[in-house]
Amino acid sequence: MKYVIETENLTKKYDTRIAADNLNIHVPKGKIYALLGRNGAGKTTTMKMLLNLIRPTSGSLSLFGENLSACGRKNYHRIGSIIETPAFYENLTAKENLEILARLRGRHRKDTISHALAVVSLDKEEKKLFREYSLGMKQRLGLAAAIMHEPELLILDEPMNSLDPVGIHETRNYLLHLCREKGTTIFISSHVLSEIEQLADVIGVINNGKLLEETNLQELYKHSRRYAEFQVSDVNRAALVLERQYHISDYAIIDKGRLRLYDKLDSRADINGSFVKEGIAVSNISIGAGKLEDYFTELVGGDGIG
Amino acid sequence: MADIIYCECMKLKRSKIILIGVSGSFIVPFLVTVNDLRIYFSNPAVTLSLDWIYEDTIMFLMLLFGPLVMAVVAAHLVSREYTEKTLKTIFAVPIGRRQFLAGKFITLFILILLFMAISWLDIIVISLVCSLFFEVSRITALSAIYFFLQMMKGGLLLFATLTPFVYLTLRTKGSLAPFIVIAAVCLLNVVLSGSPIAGFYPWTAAYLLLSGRLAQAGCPVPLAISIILSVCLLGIGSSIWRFQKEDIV
Repeated sequence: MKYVIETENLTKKYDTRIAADNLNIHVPKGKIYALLGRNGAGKTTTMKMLLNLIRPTSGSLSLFGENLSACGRKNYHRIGSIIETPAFYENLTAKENLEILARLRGRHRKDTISHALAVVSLDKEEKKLFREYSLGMKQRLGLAAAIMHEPELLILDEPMNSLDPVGIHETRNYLLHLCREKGTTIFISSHVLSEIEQLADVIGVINNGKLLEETNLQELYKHSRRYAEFQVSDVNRAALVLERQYHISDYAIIDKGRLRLYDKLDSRADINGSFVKEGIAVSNISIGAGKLEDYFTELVGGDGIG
Repeated sequence: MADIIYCECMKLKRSKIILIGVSGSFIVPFLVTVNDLRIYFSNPAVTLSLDWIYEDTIMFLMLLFGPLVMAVVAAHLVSREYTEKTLKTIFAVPIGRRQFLAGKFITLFILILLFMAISWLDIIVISLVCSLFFEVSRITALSAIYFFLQMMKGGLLLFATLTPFVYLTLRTKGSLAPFIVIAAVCLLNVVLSGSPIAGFYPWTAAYLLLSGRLAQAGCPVPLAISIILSVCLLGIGSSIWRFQKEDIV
């Protein structure tokens, strides 16, 4: 089995809205796969389909190499999950809530619950009622519920939400530990690029229900290209100069005074001369490198992820 | 299944719904006895008896109070999973949707029997306490056992007529609609209880069947049983059908 999760044209339609559009996701065994997208991009819908919480309109999905329609629920014991804000019974304590899940799973070690609570540093709060928990504590309890049965696959929908910086750091390290030391496959979603950069081996970019790109982090870094930025009096005329005189089409107009050139950077002095010759005032030229964030902005066609 | 029912019971820990059910089960026999004592004092020819307290209690339990409280309990068992958004946590475990619903129905049945048993115990205790001060006839072990069995039968009939409220809760994902409908059902119980069609209306038919007054209402016993059974199966069947196709959003 090469992929722990594999989907083929997975689609979910709600009346006229398409929440997931022909998704072909491939999550390699023992890797961290991050599904990155803006709010409402279709991340949670995708994860809910994987967990059989919502039924796909069309397409198929395989878990652990077995088609879901053929194998039914049997593989779900091997999965731990957090979907959106973790939800538990509010009148129960953390320990009681985990006990319910452990009982329903049917098989667990005696110390499973206390160990899971200790991992997420909730062992001293185990008698507090869930309704008295802060958002961050709820998130940590969700993580405890997801890992308590030592699953082979973790499906985590924005697990860092509401965590404080220390909590984020600890969770990230723990997930890395699970993946690197225990071989757990992790399928995680986020709308925070910086968070994903520190975790993921493979990244899938989703927008408007479509998977725009599925690539590894190294490939992605190639997109953070160098550029020369010209601050000019007239970007439209400057663009004409680039196209007509230098046959350059790989540039971007940033705003009405700035233009970024990605091609023929070494000719920037000549280009500057041509601008001046054409009566375009150049007030600044700088060299910079694109950030991954800019690449994603370009990819999803919006003004920022999330 | 035992684990699912254990978990359902665990979910009710510290839950106010149990307090409402238990206090309700206590209060009906108490209020009925207060009313019976009022009649007893205003009419010296009347004799207070265990039968009398039981008859009045079972009438209020089956027609008014029981459906109201038990429907609220039924709605709470299901609607809380939506309001607390716990379905996504439970189904990711995973458990089957039919198993989950079976757990809900069985828990509801157990709770109804428990509340009926509490009412029965309350009737016996109140009758014994009253007998210390007034003459209360027919307090025998045999009567107590007979009434207990009747109360359990009443619980079974109540459960059978309340299954549609589980469907209604699943359909609306909340408890408001079931509350409104059960209020209307109870109102109709009051209006129809003495009418010729009482035997054909499932919720009054359940009481008439239990009290052996179906013949007076002009409804054959098999027909009343069929009506009640149909309501029960319709409630369970439609709940399963609805829940199976539902997306957990």
